[in-house]
Amino acid sequence: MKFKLNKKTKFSDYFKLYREFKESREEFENFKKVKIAILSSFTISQLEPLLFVENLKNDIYSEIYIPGFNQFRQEILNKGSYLHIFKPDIIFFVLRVEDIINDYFVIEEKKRKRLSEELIDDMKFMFKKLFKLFNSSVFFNTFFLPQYIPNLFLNFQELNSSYNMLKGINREIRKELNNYVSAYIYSFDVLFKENGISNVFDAKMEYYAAIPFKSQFLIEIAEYFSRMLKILLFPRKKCLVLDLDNTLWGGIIGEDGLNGIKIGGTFPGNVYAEIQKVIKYYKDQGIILTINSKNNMKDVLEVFEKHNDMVLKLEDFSSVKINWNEKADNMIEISNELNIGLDSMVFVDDSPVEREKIHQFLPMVEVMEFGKDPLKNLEILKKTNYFDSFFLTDEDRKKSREYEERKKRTKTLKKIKNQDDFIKNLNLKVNIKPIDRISFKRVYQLIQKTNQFNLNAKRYSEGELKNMMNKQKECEISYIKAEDKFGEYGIIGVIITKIDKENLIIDSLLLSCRAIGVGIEKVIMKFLIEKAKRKKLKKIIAIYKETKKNTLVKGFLTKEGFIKRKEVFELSLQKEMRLAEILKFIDYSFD
Amino acid sequence: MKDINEKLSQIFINILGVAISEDEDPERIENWDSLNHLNIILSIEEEFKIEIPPEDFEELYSTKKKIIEYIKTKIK
Repeated sequence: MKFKLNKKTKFSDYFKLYREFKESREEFENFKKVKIAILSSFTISQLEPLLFVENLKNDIYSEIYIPGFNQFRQEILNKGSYLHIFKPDIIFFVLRVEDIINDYFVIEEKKRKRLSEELIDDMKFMFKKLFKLFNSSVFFNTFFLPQYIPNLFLNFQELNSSYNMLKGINREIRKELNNYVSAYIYSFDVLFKENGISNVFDAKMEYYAAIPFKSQFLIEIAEYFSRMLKILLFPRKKCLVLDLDNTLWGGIIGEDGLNGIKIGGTFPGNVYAEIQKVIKYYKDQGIILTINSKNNMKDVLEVFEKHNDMVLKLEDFSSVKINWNEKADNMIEISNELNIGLDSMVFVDDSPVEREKIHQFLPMVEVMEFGKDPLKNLEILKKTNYFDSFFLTDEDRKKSREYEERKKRTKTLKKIKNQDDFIKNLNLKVNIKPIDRISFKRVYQLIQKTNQFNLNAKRYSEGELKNMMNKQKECEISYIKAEDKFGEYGIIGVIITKIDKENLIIDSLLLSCRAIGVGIEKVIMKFLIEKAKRKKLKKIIAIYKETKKNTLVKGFLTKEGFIKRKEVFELSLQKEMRLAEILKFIDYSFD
Repeated sequence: MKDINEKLSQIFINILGVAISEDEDPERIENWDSLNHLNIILSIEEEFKIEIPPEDFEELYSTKKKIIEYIKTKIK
């Protein structure tokens, strides 16, 4: 079920929609379910219906708890509070400095300095308790400036003015939060700017009811929160599939020719150059670029080779489909070639017909609605949420390059017919290590987004994973790192095992699709068997669950000698386990 | 007049979850607490594009009929 709002949804409509839908949990079976607490220093209870409804738009079904304003300390510290019973998956803080320190912007410098330090210590103490007592992901806002700053210009000059000191407080808090893996910082400043400050604050309601924000702005906050939740709960898109004519440049290369198309120079060519720059920026953020265009190859190559103003080069694209085939067919080919799901691709095209066809034939592909006006297209491209992220792992930053390396690998593979021969020449190095703080984010990311080689697609939340990491005796979380002669793969797999009586239970096993088929699976088997033998166990039991995408795993288990017993797959350990020949050619180690 | 009535009735349904008649006493409507009263005021301001000063808030804790009268004076 897709949930959409019409554009004219009013403040009061949210209350109605909330009442209608909050009791119908089962209707939203496929939605992500989360419990959210909002801890604020002022009245913000209206966010409950607003955020609930905004979340539905993003396929999130939420239960929301908002304690009374300025109750956050008691709620956190008092173990009998409702916050402890509620056990939120996610906590949003919405704090204002002036609610915590009275007269922050008018008190004299010395006192302010002391109170600022106290505030920082207070927050540090609170975070410590918070992350100890709760397994939630936490969003903390940077303190924002109030509407009224007495003697503004003096504030700019003095080093220890309230204006400048607030920045210092924010910096200290940011530093402190960096110590916690499930802490995120967000800021209201951008939201203020986008809406225009005159549409943000409501002085009347502030003084009457301690509600500082206008009702329309509360909706904006709900939308903003939901956008952050979406980043946290869903994998980001991986790949941009781009049209060329009137998308990357103005005009049609087949008709206008090399000198007729518009790219670089003056308007509108400079807008297209900017569009290419933004796309290039996404590439640097780990997004894979591909081309899907109806054109003659020769014409297009000429543009890439000869046009000096092209920002994007042919090497920037990991897959290039320039032909007269149906674009949907090209999409499927790109998906197969790069081994990424169609649902992780974003299609960009200025032609409504092509967009409609993709909608029809491949509804799982997201479509960016480019039009005729390059300025609007630039805006759409810059504002898109598809590639939002809270962190980039090293793997993300290297991703595009890795797909290029992958292309080389597949080319070599095609040349060498025997796959074993291919692996023998790969100089593969595999390392399996216990999870630590540094690898945590990447492990979490893999658990969220790995689909094809994933034993059961259990998606542990950040809190659950953190909890498991802290109880490493009960279950062991290991990550897999690899490299070969073409380059580094980074962290590409996760294994979670538990021991139950005489059995080694594989709770989770997943391998990123770019690492499938080079022999890493064999190393995983070796790792599991060694572990089981070391602990004198008799069986390895894989908790398999079929999903739409993971048929690969079943094949792997069967091939490795696992036998299906009811819901699970079992492997009995014999004294002598024959290990794959190919392991001789892989340099592997387990810590 | 009819238009105001319609829009206001929708606001009551949205915020309070019940339809109310013209002369119904707010005291008798369970959901009409202080927070929802503010939500009603915010919604009226949005819907009719008017500003309601805080000193009028209490006056608006009243029957639908009286609120309609109030809105009429405001949008003139």
